[in-house]
Amino acid sequence: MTDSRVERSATEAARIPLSPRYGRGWLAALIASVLMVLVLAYVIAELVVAGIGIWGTNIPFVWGFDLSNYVWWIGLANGCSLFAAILVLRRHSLRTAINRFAEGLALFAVICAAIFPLFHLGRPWLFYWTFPYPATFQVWPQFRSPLTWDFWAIITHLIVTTMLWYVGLLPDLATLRDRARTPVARRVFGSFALGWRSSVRHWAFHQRAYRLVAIAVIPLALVIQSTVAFEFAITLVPSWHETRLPLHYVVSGLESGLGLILLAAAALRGSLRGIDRFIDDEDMNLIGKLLLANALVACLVYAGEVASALLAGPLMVEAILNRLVGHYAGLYWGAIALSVLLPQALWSSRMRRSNPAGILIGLGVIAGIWLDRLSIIVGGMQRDYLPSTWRIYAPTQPEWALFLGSIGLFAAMFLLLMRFLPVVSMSETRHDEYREASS
Amino acid sequence: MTGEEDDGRPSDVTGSGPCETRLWRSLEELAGSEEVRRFGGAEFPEAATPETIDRRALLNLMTASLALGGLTGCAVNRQPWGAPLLAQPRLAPQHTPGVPLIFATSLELDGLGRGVLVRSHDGRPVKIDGNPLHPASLGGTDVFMQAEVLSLYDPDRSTVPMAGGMRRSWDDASLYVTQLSHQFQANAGRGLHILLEPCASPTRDRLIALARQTLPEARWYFHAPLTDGNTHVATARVFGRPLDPVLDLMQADVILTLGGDPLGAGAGHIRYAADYAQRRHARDRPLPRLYSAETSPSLTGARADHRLALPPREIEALARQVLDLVRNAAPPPAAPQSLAAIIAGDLRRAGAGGLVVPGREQAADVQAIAHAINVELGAVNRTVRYVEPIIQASTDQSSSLLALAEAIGRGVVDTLLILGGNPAYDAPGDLEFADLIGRVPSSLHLSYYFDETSRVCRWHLPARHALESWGDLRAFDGTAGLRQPVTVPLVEAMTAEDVLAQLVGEAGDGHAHVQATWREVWGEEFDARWPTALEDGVIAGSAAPAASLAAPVGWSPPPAGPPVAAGYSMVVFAPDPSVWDGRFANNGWLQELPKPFTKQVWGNAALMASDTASALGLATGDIATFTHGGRTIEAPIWIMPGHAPDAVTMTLGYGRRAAGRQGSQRGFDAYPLRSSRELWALAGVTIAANGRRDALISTQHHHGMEGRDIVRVVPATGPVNWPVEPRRSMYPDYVYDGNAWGMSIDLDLCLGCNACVVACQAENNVPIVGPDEVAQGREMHWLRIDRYFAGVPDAPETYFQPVPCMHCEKAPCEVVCPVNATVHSSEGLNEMTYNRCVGTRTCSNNCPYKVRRFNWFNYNQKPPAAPDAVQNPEVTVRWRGVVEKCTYCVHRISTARIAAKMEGRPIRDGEVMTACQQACPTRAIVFGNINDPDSAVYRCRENPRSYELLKDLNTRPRTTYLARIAGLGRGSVGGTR
Amino acid sequence: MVQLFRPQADTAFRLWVIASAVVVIIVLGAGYIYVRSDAFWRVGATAPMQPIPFRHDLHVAGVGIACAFCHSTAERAAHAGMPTAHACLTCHSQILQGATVMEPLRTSAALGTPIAWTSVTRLPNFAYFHHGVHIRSGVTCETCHGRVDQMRETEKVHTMSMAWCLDCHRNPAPNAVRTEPEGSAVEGSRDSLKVSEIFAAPLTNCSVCHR
Repeated sequence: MTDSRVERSATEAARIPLSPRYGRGWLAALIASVLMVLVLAYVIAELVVAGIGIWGTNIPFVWGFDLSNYVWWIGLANGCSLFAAILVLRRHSLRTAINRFAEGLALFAVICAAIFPLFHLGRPWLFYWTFPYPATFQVWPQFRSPLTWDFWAIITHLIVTTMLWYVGLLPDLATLRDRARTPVARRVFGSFALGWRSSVRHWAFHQRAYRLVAIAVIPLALVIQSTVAFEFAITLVPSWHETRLPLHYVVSGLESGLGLILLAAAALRGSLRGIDRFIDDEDMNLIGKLLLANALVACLVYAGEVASALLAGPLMVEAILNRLVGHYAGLYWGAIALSVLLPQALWSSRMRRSNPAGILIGLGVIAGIWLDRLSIIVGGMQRDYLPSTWRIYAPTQPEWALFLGSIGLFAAMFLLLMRFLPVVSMSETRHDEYREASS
Repeated sequence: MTGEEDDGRPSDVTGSGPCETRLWRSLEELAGSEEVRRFGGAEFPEAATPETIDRRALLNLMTASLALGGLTGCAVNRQPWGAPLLAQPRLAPQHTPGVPLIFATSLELDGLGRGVLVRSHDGRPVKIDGNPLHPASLGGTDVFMQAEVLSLYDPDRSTVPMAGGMRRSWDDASLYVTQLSHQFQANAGRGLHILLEPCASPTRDRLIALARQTLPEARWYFHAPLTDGNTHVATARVFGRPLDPVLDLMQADVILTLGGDPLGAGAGHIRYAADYAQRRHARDRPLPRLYSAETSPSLTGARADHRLALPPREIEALARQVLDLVRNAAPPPAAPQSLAAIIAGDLRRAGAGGLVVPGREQAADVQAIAHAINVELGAVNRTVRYVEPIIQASTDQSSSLLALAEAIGRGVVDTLLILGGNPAYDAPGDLEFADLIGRVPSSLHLSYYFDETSRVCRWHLPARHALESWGDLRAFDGTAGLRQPVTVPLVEAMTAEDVLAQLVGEAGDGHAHVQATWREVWGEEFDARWPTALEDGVIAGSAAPAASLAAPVGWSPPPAGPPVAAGYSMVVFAPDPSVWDGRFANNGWLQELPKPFTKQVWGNAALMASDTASALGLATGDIATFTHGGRTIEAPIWIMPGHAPDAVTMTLGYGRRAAGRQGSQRGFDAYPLRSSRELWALAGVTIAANGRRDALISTQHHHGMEGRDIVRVVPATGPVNWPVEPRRSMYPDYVYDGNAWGMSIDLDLCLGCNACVVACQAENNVPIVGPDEVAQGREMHWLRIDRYFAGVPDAPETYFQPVPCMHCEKAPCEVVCPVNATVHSSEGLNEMTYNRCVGTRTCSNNCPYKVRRFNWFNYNQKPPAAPDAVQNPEVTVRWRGVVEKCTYCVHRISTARIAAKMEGRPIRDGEVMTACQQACPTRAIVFGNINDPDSAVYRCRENPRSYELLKDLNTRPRTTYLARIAGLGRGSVGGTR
Repeated sequence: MVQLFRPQADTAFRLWVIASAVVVIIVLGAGYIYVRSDAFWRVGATAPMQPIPFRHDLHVAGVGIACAFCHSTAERAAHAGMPTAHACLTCHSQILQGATVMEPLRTSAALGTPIAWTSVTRLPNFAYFHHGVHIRSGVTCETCHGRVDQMRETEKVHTMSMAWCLDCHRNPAPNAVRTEPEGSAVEGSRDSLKVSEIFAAPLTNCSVCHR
């Protein structure tokens, strides 16, 4: 008799995310984000045709929005995937609620991130020269350069994140196949389900594979954030030239990831009726606490940043002071306010459980980390060795368009995921509820 | 302490002393060569007589092979088979396609000649350098000489005759000129008025003299905005007749400059800079002491041991005091020695070694006082020699622009020929000269551009460029030099001499006119002397002798006029360091050249001291209205540290209305405010802010060194000892068993004159990016000159520091480039390979000197790009998306290496000269092999003053600096190294 | 419910995976080979249209004219130099003077316009090559241009890719037989790498060819 109930709940669970009632809100959102994607396409075309002179970058600010947005997206991706992987490994109850879209968000964030290093090149069509292949001019990449490492970082990240997402998705694809109405859909889902038959053997393999990929994600996330950090830490620019930079990037990257998850979870609870049964208050509570904790760590990291700079040579002191009170001070304090102070609201459990608060805080944290990246890259560049070369950088419209366009791309992909794939893992839900029921 | 440098002697530098075979050729030598004769003997009718291969044919041949010269486009050739191989019908004798020829010729500025060498690739002049044999150059150059070659290819130059705004054929034009000559030869030239630029050209003088005979009734006028008669008025007062001073800074122990800029601008400044530099480093002589009293900062003032920022009237007061104190050694009144007393004391002690140099903008009285002091000191014929006027053009009132204006006003001018110049633009505003020209029934303007004057004249004839025409010019010291064409005329055009010749009915082309002149001078020696003169570009021993001065009586100046009411009302005019009097307004290299002190580009501003500005409630960038005598102009303000209080400096030459696509509507035009009575300093100007602002474009935004070790200064006396830290590096050192190239820049010799910057741009195809891009922070100069102020804002020390690529031993850029586009060479060069660069720009991130530049757009194709023809075929023309930087002129190194290999010998010291080194008038830049203990650069690096920029970073630059020697301050002659 | 896939589906799927992997490998391999192939570098191809059907074989093998007679600056300059119309006419004012194929020659001589030959071996603009120093270092004409004396139509015989240049620049000894001029600083040496060490940078510096 329990079985029948479990079956019902499971099918219910399976139906909810794919319930046909998506309404106008979803469509409007999709249209808006697709328009932004078109803007993105236009700006990229302009970049390739005219050159990156359409940006506000100059000497010495050779990097501006391009790299800071890249670092920001990578941070989001790492945060999400790292978080999801840990949940998988710990078999934590949250995973039923979070994993599916956490993994999805990670994947989409990597895709958005990949846009920037590619199109920030002066000659993007030659990007493959950073890849060591036997060219007829017999020149190889400079393996000492962090940019070469970064090429690998992005590729690896893309592969592993995709695997984490796909492996987790397998059983649900099977379910979808079984529930698909048209034969075409059935075949499509079927072939992606790789002939899943929910046999015990399948489950055994699947669990092992899933956990293996998840294990791979953890060091990867740390390595990638460090690689990105090295692109700056390796250079002589005073406020970049710090060994603590990788730590800074890992911590703040994870925080932005958590912020994104909080945002998405709250948004889903707000938009999909009935889903709060699967992403319940307890889940939100946990996410909130995690984010709060991470914010506190970030606070520590920020403090360490100032301290280590002040203890370093006069150039470093001048550089950090310039970030704190100089032309770009707004970026720095904005970062502090949004990524450290704002999350303190999560001390209250009402806040942790409220969707609007979740959306607000999630957005705030993400924006805060974005400002932090900008403050490091732009604000940090402003004071280096020869005063004669000091200048100001301001982003131009194309740079904003590129940034917003990438967000549009991200949103579009997430909306489609919501529509066509289960945003919470049916199999995991079924698994847990079965355990509850049978206990 | 210093002075090991063997520089200064040009012949050593170019390795082409008079003893050796000359580097460069004369066209006629080529034209008259054996090959040509053989052609003449050949079986082809059109080569029947040797005459048929004249210069023109020869140049045509060379220009025809231009395609082989490699107009390196931006991309790889599109068609599968690449560019075609052109087989010339005939090769120019002694010209190997792809191997440049060098010609000596003369360029003109302010009517005086400056000898240059023009490097021509396959008939295409691409680079101009100084002529080591020419006294006005000694191999050095200034920005205007360097940039002249870009003007040659200016797409905006005038190409066809115009009449009443309509294009006319040359037949019509020459018909018109012939009619004129007939008409006026008939009536002895009555009603004919001719306006010329004063110019020290013997041929022109001869033709003018001829014309004065044949057309006695014709009236002659001379006008150039910067050469007025004050100098001659002053010398006439002291010596009884107009004379020109020629300085000898080698002999000067104590120098007082009253305004002006003898080292940085004006007659003979390149030579003077070289002499001064050489004197500074003559070990056996004491350091010269330089006092500068000036209103607005000048390169001389920045170099001075003691600089006084004084408004004009106080300069006059100072001059008077010094004269008195020098005359009667009466103890100065003030118990604490007044500055005048100190200077006078120094001058008296220096005696014949003293020298006072007045600026051309000073009032005639001040200049006269200066000459009087020189007489008093007995300095005449020691530190200064007075010669008969170099520019024959009479400077009396009857031939001034003012006189012409009156003549037009009286309506006696039937025909007005304006041969050169641009009076409608640069005449003093009170003349309203443009309108006056309109009143003349028949007017003709010969000019290089269809400019403001051309528009108001009935007729306009395109003028030839100096590099296309024959001529001769006398230098500041009277030395004559020949001018020969180094390319076929790119457009059909005339020279002023051609027009004059037509008027007097003298047949022949420019070549004939010049030869006629020197036939007169040389008589039967002509055939012997002409070829050498043409090849050298200089006529040996033609320098003007010192004029015999009837023992000048102790002239004393008239009592000073009523003191001008104090107030912020004195406006001083000065030539612009970039566009001079406006003639270079359409030259992209010069427009984009940061001015030495403001680092402003693509415009000008009214300079004033911060006190003055704050009293007026103005800040940098505010636009103010200047009104005087009903004439009003608007100009943006620039607060200039070190500017004299109570005065405003306006540079001329901007605000052009018809300069061309690049030059028009840039900056503001100060000429309308100028008065024909007081050309240089205008009192009683009312200044008012009008609330608007102007975005002034500058390439440097921080002016202090922030207490960092950037420009080092060592005391003039006493040893230098800097701590030597041990070198540590995790990477193994490179070993150099061959050449190891290095550069040394002497900050004590660098004047900040910018010649090296333009030279680098010309040699290395550095793109012009335009004002918007510079405002964005994207100027492309491979070599920039950083300017720092130190000390108090009102009277700061000004330091100039040229910053090329440092070619670091441990180059930070090399390790971060993901694609190995910038790598270390076995000779220690930090090589940039454009065709490998993908444009991550991270090398620039990691360059602490920020010398790397990035092609944000396809700068070499989008306006205001320099035309392809001027691009140096030896250097890749960069395309969009790649990083570039100083290469130490690696193509010159390659050329030398190939020559050495083919001759089976090592590369000699001094055989490789970088473009900046070659251009530098003071030889502040030394380049060579630091592995060779005998090389000049090695000795520089051994000099105790030698230091590395940002040494703490341990990048181990190959470019090192020699510290500047601190000024001697005031008082007590002496101070040795 | 009805069976969606046939039992062989798994095998088919696995095969498909393997096949696609193989395809990728083949494509990459083919690309690797193609960019090194003569076809890619137009080796063996001859210029489609030359203004005059000039035949090296007749002039070099037949008449016995030395390369340097026509390409007169090859030994001292960067450009090998193309024969001038007058150089050609020294013979062809008698031989074949009336022939229509010689029309461009006569036009060039008469009008003073250059003859535009289609170039068979052309380097990109960013590569700077100096004929003189190569010949001086003992690199013969045929080392790079092949047996032109046997070519009816001039054709490219080497890829002239950067790799091809580097082969020799890394080890010039096989192709460079250098004999020192009189009074030279070093005695004659077969190994021009040694020579280049004495006289100049190793030949593999980027700036040797790229400026």
